[in-house]
Order: sequence, then C-alpha cells, then structure tokens
Amino acid sequence: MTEESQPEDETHGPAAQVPLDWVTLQRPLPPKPQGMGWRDYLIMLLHIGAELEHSLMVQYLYAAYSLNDQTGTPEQRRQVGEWRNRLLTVAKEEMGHLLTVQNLLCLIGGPICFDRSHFPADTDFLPFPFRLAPVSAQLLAWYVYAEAPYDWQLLFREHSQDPSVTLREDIRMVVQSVGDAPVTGHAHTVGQLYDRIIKVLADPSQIPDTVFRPDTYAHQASWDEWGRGYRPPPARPGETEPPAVPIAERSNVIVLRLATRTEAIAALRQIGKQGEAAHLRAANDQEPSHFVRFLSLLDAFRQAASEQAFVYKVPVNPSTLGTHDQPEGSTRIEQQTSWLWATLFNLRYRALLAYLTHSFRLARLVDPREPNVRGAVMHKVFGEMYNLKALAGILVRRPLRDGVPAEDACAAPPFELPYTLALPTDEPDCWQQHQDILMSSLAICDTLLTRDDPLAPALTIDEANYLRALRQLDQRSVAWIDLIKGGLPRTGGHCT
Amino acid sequence: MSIPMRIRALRILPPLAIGRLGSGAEPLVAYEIEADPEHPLDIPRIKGAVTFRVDGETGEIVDAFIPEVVSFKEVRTPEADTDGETTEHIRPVAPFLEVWTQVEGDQWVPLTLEILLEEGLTPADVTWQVTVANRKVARRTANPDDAVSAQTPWFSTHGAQPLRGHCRNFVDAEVSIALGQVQYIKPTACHPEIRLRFTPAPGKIYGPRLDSSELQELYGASWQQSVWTPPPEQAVYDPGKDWLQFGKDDGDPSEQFAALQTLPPSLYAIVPPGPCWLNDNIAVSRGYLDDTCDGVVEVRLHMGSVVLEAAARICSGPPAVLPDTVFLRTLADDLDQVIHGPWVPTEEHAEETRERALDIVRRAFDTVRFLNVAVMNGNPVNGRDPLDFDTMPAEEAFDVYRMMRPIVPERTADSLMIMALHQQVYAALQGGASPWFAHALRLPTEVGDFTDHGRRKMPAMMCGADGGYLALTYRQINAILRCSGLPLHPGPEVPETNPQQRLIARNRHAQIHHVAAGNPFASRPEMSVGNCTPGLEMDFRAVWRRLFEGIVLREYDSLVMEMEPIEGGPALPDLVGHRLLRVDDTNLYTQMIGPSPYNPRTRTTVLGFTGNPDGVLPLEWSNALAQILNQRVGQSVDCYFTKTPVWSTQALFDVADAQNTLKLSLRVRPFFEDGSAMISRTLAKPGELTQGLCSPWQNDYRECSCYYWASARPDFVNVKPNSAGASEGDNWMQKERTGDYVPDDYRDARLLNYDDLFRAWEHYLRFQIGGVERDRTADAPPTGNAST
Repeated sequence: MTEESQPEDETHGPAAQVPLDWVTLQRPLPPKPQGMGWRDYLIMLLHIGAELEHSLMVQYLYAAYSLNDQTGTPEQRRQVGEWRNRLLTVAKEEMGHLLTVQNLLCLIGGPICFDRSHFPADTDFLPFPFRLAPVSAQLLAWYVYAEAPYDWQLLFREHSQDPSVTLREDIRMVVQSVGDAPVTGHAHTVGQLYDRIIKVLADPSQIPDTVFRPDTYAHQASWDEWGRGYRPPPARPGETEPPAVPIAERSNVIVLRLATRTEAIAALRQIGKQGEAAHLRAANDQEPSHFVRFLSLLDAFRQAASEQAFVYKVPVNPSTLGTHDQPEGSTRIEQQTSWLWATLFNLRYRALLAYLTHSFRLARLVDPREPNVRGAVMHKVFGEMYNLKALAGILVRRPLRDGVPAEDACAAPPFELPYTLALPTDEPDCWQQHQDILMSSLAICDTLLTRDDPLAPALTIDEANYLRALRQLDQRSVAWIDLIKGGLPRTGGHCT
Repeated sequence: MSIPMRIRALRILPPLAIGRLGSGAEPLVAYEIEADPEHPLDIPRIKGAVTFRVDGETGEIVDAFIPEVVSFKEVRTPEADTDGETTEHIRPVAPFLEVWTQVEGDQWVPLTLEILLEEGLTPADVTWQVTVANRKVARRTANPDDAVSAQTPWFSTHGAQPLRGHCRNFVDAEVSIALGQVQYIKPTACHPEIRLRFTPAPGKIYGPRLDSSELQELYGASWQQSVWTPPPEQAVYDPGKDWLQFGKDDGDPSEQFAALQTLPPSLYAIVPPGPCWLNDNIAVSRGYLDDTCDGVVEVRLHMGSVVLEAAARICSGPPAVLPDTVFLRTLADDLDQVIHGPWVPTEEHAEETRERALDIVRRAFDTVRFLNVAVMNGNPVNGRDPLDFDTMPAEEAFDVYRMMRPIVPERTADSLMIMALHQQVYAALQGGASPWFAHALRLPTEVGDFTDHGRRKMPAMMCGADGGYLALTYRQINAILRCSGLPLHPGPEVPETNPQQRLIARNRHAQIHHVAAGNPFASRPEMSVGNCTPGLEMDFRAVWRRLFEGIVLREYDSLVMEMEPIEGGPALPDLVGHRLLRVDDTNLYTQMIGPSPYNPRTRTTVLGFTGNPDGVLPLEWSNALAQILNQRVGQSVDCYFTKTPVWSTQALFDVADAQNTLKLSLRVRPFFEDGSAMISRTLAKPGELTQGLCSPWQNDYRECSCYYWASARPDFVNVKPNSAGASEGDNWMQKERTGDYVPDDYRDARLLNYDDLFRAWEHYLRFQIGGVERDRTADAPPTGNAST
C-alpha cells in the first residue's frame, strides 16, 4: 500500500470537486469531519471498513451464486465450478477481514459492527455503490478495480516493458469500465480506506497508547475458532514454503487477534496485502491477492465462449419488499413461493448476523476456557452460513415471477438487512430474539412444506428434505434456548 | 458327465456373515434400519423384518413373521418362590447363509428344493462342512498348539452341528470350547431354499484349570474379592502351557519374539493391576480365552460325478450395542474399495455419488453423537490433567514423546455443538449444496500429520488402523471430492475399466451387500467397524498379510514375519525380519510430523525419537494398497525391502540408496476367490481374521476408548444440553447413570473394570437404541434427540 498524499484534517468541499488522479484512477477520500475526535474518527473509519468488508463479501457471494455449473459439458461445469470457488474464496477471506476489523474495534474500545450502510459519511468511502448483480465481465472489472493497489496501472506499465508481458485486454476493460466513475465521485479502491485507517492509527499524537485495551485480546475472534482450516498448511520439514496447492483451492482466511498498536497496523497491512497485492505473475505466487484473483477470473470469463450460458438469470438487487417500499433499482421477487424462500433466506441472514454479534458479547460474559453458550453460538454462525449456501442454491432454481420459467428469470438471495442488528440489552432478551427468528423460520418451513402453489414448480425432493432437516434443527435450537434462558437471571448476563 | 443345464455353479450369500455372541435362548430377530423422512436427523429407526423360527430338532423353519418389537436382550426373572437372581441374556445374532445357483441364462437364483428335484437331486445331495478357529492365543505365543480349532464333518443332516473347539494345550483332548453351532436348515414346501444357520457361542470366558492355592499364588490372598475366574467347566487350559503367565518374563528375549507383539500391545486379560501401560508395562496373562471364532463354510452339491462347490466366511464377535448406528468407516467401505478401487467409477451416476457423500456425513454425525468431544479433544476434565485420559491427543503425545495439545480450542469442543454443526452440513447438502469441505478431509497419507492443520482434519479425534488419526477410504473421500468438482486421489487420472471388470465389480458389490432373509442388520459388514486397531468383529488388517506371494507380513506394519515358498514360484531370499517399504511407486509409510517449536504455525519438524529417528509411521494397507489391488492383481509388482533384517527399527525408503534396498518382483494375490466376493482362503486361514483381537474380547471394551469406534463402543450416552449451553451425560462404562460424566480412569470404582465385564458383560453392556439407553424398540419415544 502506498499512502495517499491527501491530508485528512483539512476541510474540503464536496467529494466530486476533489481532482482525480488519472494515473491511479483514485480520488482522495473525504477528510475527517470537523469537530470529531481522532479516536472517534478512527472508530468511524473502522465501522466503514467493516461495512465495506461486509458489503464486498455479500456482493461476491451473490456473484458466486449466480454462476450455473449445472449446464454444459463436464469440462465447462468444472470450469464454472472453479470460477465460483474463486469468488467464494475471496468472500471467505473478506469474512476474515471483517472479523479482524472487529478485533481492532475491540482493541480500541469501540462498538463492534456487522451492519451495512446507515453511516453518515461512508458513501464516499465505498469502492462503488452496493449492487447485487450476476457475474459479468463488467462486474468483474469493477471488482478488479475495487481491490486494485494504488499504483496498479503504473506497475502494469513497468511490467509491460518486459517483452514477455503484453498489455492485457482485461486491464483495458477495467479502465474502461470504471471510466468516469471516480470523477463523478462514485468509486474508490478498498486500499484507500485502509491507508487512511493506518495513518490515523499509526500516529500516537492522534491515537495515544492509552486508547489500546490489550485486555480484550482473549475476547477477540481467533483464527483457531473462525478459520475453519482456510489457510496454507505449514511447510514440510526442512522447507520454508507451504506445499503447492492449485490456485482454485488456495485460501487464507486471516483472523488476527491484536494486543498492540504495532500488531494492529501489521494486521491491517496484511489485510491490505491480501486484497490488493499486485502480483501480476499470479502463477508464481502461492497466495494470489484478491486483485489478482479477480483479474485472472475476468480474463478466464472473457475468454470462455457464451459466458452468459453459465450465469443464472438472477435479477439485480432482488427484494422481498412490497411495491411501495421497494428501493430504487431493486427487483421484487414476485412469485409467492420463491418469495417465501427469499424471506427464509433473509431470516437466516439475520440469524447469522445476530449470532455473530452475540458471540462477541458472550466472549466477555462466559468462561473462555470451556465449552459453553459462546462456542455453541459460534458454531451456529457457521450453521447459518451453510443455510445461506443451500438457500441460495435453491433460490436460483426458482422462478422470479409467475408464468416465467426460472431458466428465463430466477429468484436469488436478497441479502436484505433487518430493521436493526442491535442486540437487546439483557441476555434473556437476546436469546428471545434468536428464538423469535427461529420461530419465524419454522413457520415458513411449515408453509413451504404444506402449501399448494399451482403457479410454482412443485417442491423438489431435495428442497423438502432440506426443509425437514432445517425444521428439526430449529426445533431443537428452540428447546435448547429455552434451557439457556431458564438458567439466566431475568436481567443481566451469564454467570462466569 | 456334463453339468446339467439347470445348475451351473453355486454361491453362498452373503459371502461374509457376522454372528454376535449372546446367551439368549432365542436369536435376535431380523431387522433393518431406515431413516425417518419427517425427522431426517434422528437416528434411523429399527424396523422388524421377516424372521424365521427354526425347530432345533428338525431344522425346519416352523414360523416366519415380522416382529413388531425388536428386543436385544432377554431378562429372566426367577420363579416367585425361589431365591434366584434376575439374569440378563443378550440375544445372539445367528445369521443364515443362503445357497444360490447359476442357471440357464447366467441368472443367479436361490437354490431350492424345486430346482434340486428338477435335477433329480434331493437336499441330501447338498453337504456342508464348517471350519472355524480361535487363534488369538496362538497369535501371541507363536505356538500352533494354542490354536483352538473346530471342524464339522461333511454333513447333510439337519440337526445342529456343534462347533467344538479343541486345542492341544487344553487339559485333555476331551475338553473343548463351544464356538457355536451350525445347522443345515431343512427345506420345506413353505421355505424351500437351501440355507445354513450359524449360531455363535454364548460369550463365555475360558481359562486355566487352577486350584485355590494356585489362584492365591497368582493373584494374592484376597483374590476372591476382586478377580473373576472361570468356573470349573470353563477351566480348560493346561496351566503348564505358555498362555498362563505369558509375559511374566517377557518370554523369548529375541527380536523375533518381540515382533510377535500385537498392536495395540498386550491385548489380553492380565493379572491385576491393569492396564499394563499404567503399571510399568507388566502384562502377565491370566490365560483366558474367549469363544469367538472365524472360519469358512463350504457347501458341495453332488450331481453324480460332478461336484459343485462354494464357500463363505463367518465370524463371531461382540454384540452390536448401537444396532441402529453405522460407523463412519465400516468393513463394507473397505470391501467396496477393494471391489471398485479407490476412485469413483466413471460410470457411477452423479446422484449415486451424491447419495454416498450424504451417507458419509450422516454417519459422521451419528458417530459424533456418542463421543465426548470435549474429553476426546484433550480438554481438562474438572481440572484434571487431560494426559490422564485415554484420547488421541494423549496417545499422540505418548507416541512421539511430545507435550500434549488439545486438537481444537477447548471452548469450541462439545458433542452436541459439533453434532449439530454436522447436521447442519447434512441439511445443506440435502438441499442440493455441493460439499465445500473437501479441503478439511484427511488424506490417508496425512494420518501422521500432528500439526494443528493435520489434526483438525476430518474425521477428527479418532484412530485408524495405523495408529494415526483416522482417514476415510479413498473411495469415500473421492465421493466427496467428485461432488465438489475436485480432482480425485490418489493419482492424476481415473483409469478406464472394461465392461467385464465393471460387471464383476457390480456382481461382487451385490454379493457383499446381499440381504439374506432372516438376518438382522447387525450381521452385515456395514455394521462392522472398519480400519480399526484392531477391530471388534474382525481384524481386517490380517487380510493383507499374504497379499504378496512368498511372504507373510505382520498385520499392522511392513515387517516380514514368515516366508511361504510358492510351488513353482521364484526362489526368494529369506526376508524374515526385513521390512517392505515400497510397492511400485507407493511408499507404505508416512513420516510423523508436528509443529516446529521455532514457528508452530508455519513450520514443521519430523517427530523422531530414539528407536524411530525418522518418525516413520507405517500406513494401513487398505488405503496404501488400494491402487495396487485395483490395478495389479495377478501381476508382479516391484517390492522394495530393507537390505537387512530390521526387526525393531522402522526404516525409510531412499530411492538413491540402492545399497540398502532389496528390490524383488512379487505377484499380487487375488483378494477374492474366483467370481465371488469371498475373501480368498489363501489370504487368511480360519482364525486368522480374528487372531489380532483381544483375548478375551471383553478387554476391548475396558481398554480401548471410543476414539477407535465410537458408534460401536459408545463413550457418551444420555447426552443432553445443560443450561450453560454445553453437553452433559454419562460415560457408557459408568456403573450408575448419574448424568455426571465420569472420565475414563482404571482406578475409579464408579466405572466398570475388567472383572465386572468378565463376570457380567451381558448385564453391563447397555444397548443404545434411537440414541436412548434401552434394550428393545417398543419403548421408543416417537422422535427427537437432544441437540443444540
């Protein structure tokens, strides 16, 4: 990463007036608002960082789920499956970034954040407007830009002096795709935000040592718990590099716990490197950055014939909201059974975020050395990830509207946020909230299993099996939560 | 005379039937297990199947019925006016073996009375002979006179034929061990099929004939209070022979004798205190034997001068205390790999592969259900040092002389949590999601990877036949890889098979999985733990000992124990004491590696130690030889041995060091007999497939923890969540059910000890049905297992 030259503490006018650096295609970020303290500002930036990681993760997931590996020749299916794995790998790694940002928030005593949007000053920090869209060359070009390093064009030009490297069409396409967006104030690279965060964090005059709370270390998320094996294996005896793994199978979920300023800066640099490192010779690199992964994906996608055949006809920004509430630019899932599935998806997404938030709170409330509710809630986060995966797969095989087959227009995971992600103050109420979500989910499962919708394709055996299994899991969870609630005081938290 | 057109060949199905011990008067009824579609996460339901009641005198089937209740135990209460005690008797699993015949059109049909009559034959033209043995003691003492063998004459009558096991080292030639019985079922108009029933022994323990003064000398003055000894009618072994007090002076000091040790070592009843590894490795044998066996059933059909023959294998083992739960890796999985090879056949339909992948996940959570994950992970138990408990992390620490480390963070290790997570995976796969966890599966070559990266792979916390962490078969792993769209292992490409090979494979598969009428599910290889150390029903490792012509290997590693010259075959040098290191391009070992102290996360080091400086871990044969067995049967392969005997030292293969390697070309023997799915008699003689097991088998339940076979020897039962969110329940080996798990401790009187099991194993070994402790199905609640 290269630090931008723009000073943060100066007052500037509207973002669009800031001159664009045509070499980097980057426009400087807005400065720190006047009247805001440095610690507060850092927390705000980290919240924006969390939102950004969350947003990117969801968009990458959506793109991955839009790929159809059930059609074409076996080789084509394998190829599409690999594309999807690459997208999913980046999404998983974004999850690691998200958790590391939460750890940093813990370290400086800020509130954790699993929300998206709702920030007063974040719009100008996001790489591009949040948009759930099917995979296309255009979309991938934007992803390349979002993860691009500061000097990626310069770097490419340097490499292009090497006769073995020629100017790639995909690079041109990225430039063309983002085009005027930075000029009009709608595009930034991710690295810019992290540069800003590091700069603030690194300055003891702005963030003094007293801000840091190393005592939170034990409560922070760790790779051991959250990494799920997603990192390179250790090197074999006598060697220094991990064994080679095919690019499609490589992933490295970085979840770092932090006790000091130095560790925090190093963590952010590591995250930044994973996103934007400009290894243009990806084949020689054991851990390609997101930038490189997207670049190679764009390249592969553009080379594949009839690329659209491998993409489900998913809508842009699917929505379950009513006609009157529907956000601009969204597409309503009209088919009633599909709508139920999409609503179920939203519920499970909400459950995931609620469990995730709760796991951070519980880390402070219960004994960290032994299995208890905190571990259970953490496992439930993963369970909900699996639910999202299954439900997304079901949604893209269901029609978007009546009378139009799914092959022509299908539903898709809406990833809609609930009205709030805030947890109730008291523990019993938190558990009650989890239970409420489960009860709503159970009701939808029952409806889907029993309703007769002549306008929808019949429930497949797979879908019915999934719903029955999910229902059983939820019934057990409801009973389990009753037990947990029974052991709690009416107000307050767990006894340690 | 030519063979009549109608009957061309015979076959006994199933080719392998498992009997299970029990002293119940009535054998266990037939049952199947089936998933409840409305409650797919519940343990499969036990459902009665067609059961035959056989008249013991006439051998006729006098009744065929479908039981509504499946009861695994008989409880006998004394007459009202007597002062006898209530006794419990487990119903034996007594499988039927059916004779099938190939008729015109190459169809295989059951051989029946009608077919016999059409050919001018009668049931008396069918003759049987059964040969079984218990070689457990002979395996240890290396004295063939310690083998207990039984052989019936050729018979065609329908009365029960006892399997009387005689042994040269019994007190006299008259005494014997009852190894069970066989009965040629008399075909009738209602039940015209030709079949034989094997009823295993009741599960008695036999021992030396000692008087009270000798017992006192052996066990001490107060022996009667703590030591169970066989009653006089079971005191059959000559106390002057090797087995009694075997191990007292470590016997023959030679390396050859030391090499006779089993893995795990000292698997026999010893003079207290036990176990030996906590008591200075002193393992003095009490001289006990059990009444298990394995062997061969042969049938002949006499058609004038032509005699058609067929054979099958039988074995007897402990009861299936989890009769509705299938272990993660079973004997059937290993046999399927032999039949189909390690890969997924290219012609296998994607939906079939997906079903197999789903079944693996289902079995995973059914296995986790009975593991105390927190304890098996190496968590402290009530503040006690986890090194005191028998777990894989503890074993690993002992084996490589390193500090013990839990496998996953302690706070994430909980049975119900992990089970629910597996069930969530299962639900997602049911919904059509492709498996995403292939990277987390342990490859068979990674069983010695003791880094966190390696130890956390799946299956976790369990042990395989090589003593390393359990791996699935390649065939199982490849089912998941294929569903994930990833390349298969081992090797870059799946070899093509021709139609004839595919037909043979399909036929053998059908035979292995044949459901014989009247047989309980527990009699099938699907219910036998696979790839274990040593196993419960069978020590499958023994089957590989003679795979290469001319040599006999030790069942658990690559040491050549004997030479068996092949008539007309090449003259081989004496390889006894040498180690087979490599076959063609496949090394038969891996190296144990662990985290480097210098950088535990990114660097590794070989876990060498005195006696094994290279940290060599021989691999279990079933996976290591899977490719060879699929591609090279009947062909010669390059076998690389150590140049010299290395009895007690492990060795590495170094391709550049030809001076220390002996390369020989040996032929790979067929695994199955011609056309059938019967394990070749050349590979294992009667008694050899069980000879590596515990003597008596009850020791297995006391000595081996559940990490060997959680869904056959449960650990954690009556499990439910507590209000802290974690799991609580009982140790299956706990005498009283309190809900407060008692960690395994040989000195803790709250747990069963060896003599409790010797005395009353049928009382203490409690069945778990539907995840609930009971011995019959009728009391089952409708649904629901506790979970998070």
